[in-house]
Amino acid sequence: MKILSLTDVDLFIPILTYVYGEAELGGKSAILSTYRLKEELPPQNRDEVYLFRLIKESLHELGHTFNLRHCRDSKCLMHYARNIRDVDNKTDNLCRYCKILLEDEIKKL
Amino acid sequence: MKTTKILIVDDELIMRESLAGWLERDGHSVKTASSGEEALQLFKQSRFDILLVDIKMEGMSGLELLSFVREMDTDTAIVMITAYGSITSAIEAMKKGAFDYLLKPFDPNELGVLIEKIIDNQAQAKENLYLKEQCKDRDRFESMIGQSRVMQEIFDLIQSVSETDSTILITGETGTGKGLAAKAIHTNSQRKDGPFVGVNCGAIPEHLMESELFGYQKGAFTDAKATKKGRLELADKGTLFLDEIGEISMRMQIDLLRVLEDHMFYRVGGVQAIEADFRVIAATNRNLEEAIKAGIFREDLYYRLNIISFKMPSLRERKEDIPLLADHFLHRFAQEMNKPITRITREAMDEMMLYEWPGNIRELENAIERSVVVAKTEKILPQDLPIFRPEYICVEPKTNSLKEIEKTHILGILQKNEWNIAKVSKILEIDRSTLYNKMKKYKIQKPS
Ligand SMILES: [Zn+2]
Ligand SMILES: [Zn+2]
Repeated sequence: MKILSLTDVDLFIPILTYVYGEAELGGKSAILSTYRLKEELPPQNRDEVYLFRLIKESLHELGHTFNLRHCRDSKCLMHYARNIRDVDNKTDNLCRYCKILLEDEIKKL
Repeated sequence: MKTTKILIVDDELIMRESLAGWLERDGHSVKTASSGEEALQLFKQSRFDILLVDIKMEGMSGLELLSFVREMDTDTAIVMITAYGSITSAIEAMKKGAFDYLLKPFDPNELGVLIEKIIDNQAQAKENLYLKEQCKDRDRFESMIGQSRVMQEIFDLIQSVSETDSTILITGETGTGKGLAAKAIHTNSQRKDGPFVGVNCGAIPEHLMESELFGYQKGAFTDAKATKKGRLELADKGTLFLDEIGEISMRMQIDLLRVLEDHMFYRVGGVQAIEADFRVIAATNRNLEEAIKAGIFREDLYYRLNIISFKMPSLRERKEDIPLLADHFLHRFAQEMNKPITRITREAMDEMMLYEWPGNIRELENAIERSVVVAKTEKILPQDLPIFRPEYICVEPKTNSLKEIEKTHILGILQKNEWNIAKVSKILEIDRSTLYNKMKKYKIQKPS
């Protein structure tokens, strides 16, 4: 079982000014902050875009708990978003490499 | 491209752990040390690509660690982590050879960009070195010279595996001639009239690896002005040599596995499957079984590669070949540099026989090359050899007075270590105040 916590406060780790979330690599728990996901929402479809961001970044953090690391493919869920535009640019899918790596991890369970 | 090995050195647990977590999720292999001393210990055991070092630590400071590491290794990029108040020491660190510094707390993007920049720089340097060595290696089967029993066994083995067309995995330390063994197999095989195509998996940056191996179709990306064949295609009817296979990224492993299964692949941006007929020889200095356990190498790929495997012996395991090899290199370099050097003195040879040669034949070759450059007579003397000797060679003291010897010794160590009191007291295994007292007693003063 994996646990994902959501919070609306901004998160940081002692040495970095902020993080979107944190997760135990190959572990059980992850946390995601919605704080920065509210940046630059388009007025026409605020809720829709916000929800899509939330889904993608939640899946990203959960991906880490399945031992997935960051991916170079900017369309892949496991891509590290440097800013909110990177988040919007992602799809809600894994690239073919990350898919295989996830399958490997699931097989190990 | 290989996974980057990063060592974090910080005396605060929370800093180490949080930074390590972030970097691991980013795909790097991370170790931590709680002090400079511990870091140095780890560094002696294994190499790291990047060191992230807190400047301010109890005990050995970040700057001291920087100088120690710089002495041992020039390839590792060292990034200093500093608080706002200690910018001046960060600047000093840059002068001493740090790659850069980060002011804490730092923006994750800043860290990400910096790590990427270091990786690109190192990949570039490695690729250049590999190309240079490949040129040098062109007709150097000579490194395969050896009369030792272990080498005779290797020759027999190469002979017999050359007759097969199986995939081969060659293991062994760096500089043991794995590439040469691969070439020897190729030239003795039925594929000898086909090409021998080498790929240094550890040197090519990941974003270039795909197009290097598979080639690309015209228009696949902005720079793809014309269709280019990848190395797999170029190896058709010949041998594909995958050097440093242990350094290949997880995603490339996925692609390679597929190619090894059916010898079919697509060029980047291509829609037509391409078939190539090549024999694969892979080499690594890494323990792949351990890499599998660590989750950085795919087990299925390992079994695909490890059909036949053998290990190239280290120079330590075939010391009886040293004189033969050394003489051979001597004659070649003397001729190349047009220097009338004809022999290696017995004393120099003794030193070579005692030395452990961690860099193996390549290190021996470089050592001879350098000694031919610096030699002033017609023979190679021990002092011409760039062999690392234990720091304290017992020289016959000029005096028998214990006080004099102590004074000279302290002065010598101080000069050697740029009057760094902390470092010197550590080397001498006395505390700082004792060192100060002795300096006062012997009137030792730093020249101004
Ligand atoms: Zn992440
Ligand atoms: Zn991916």
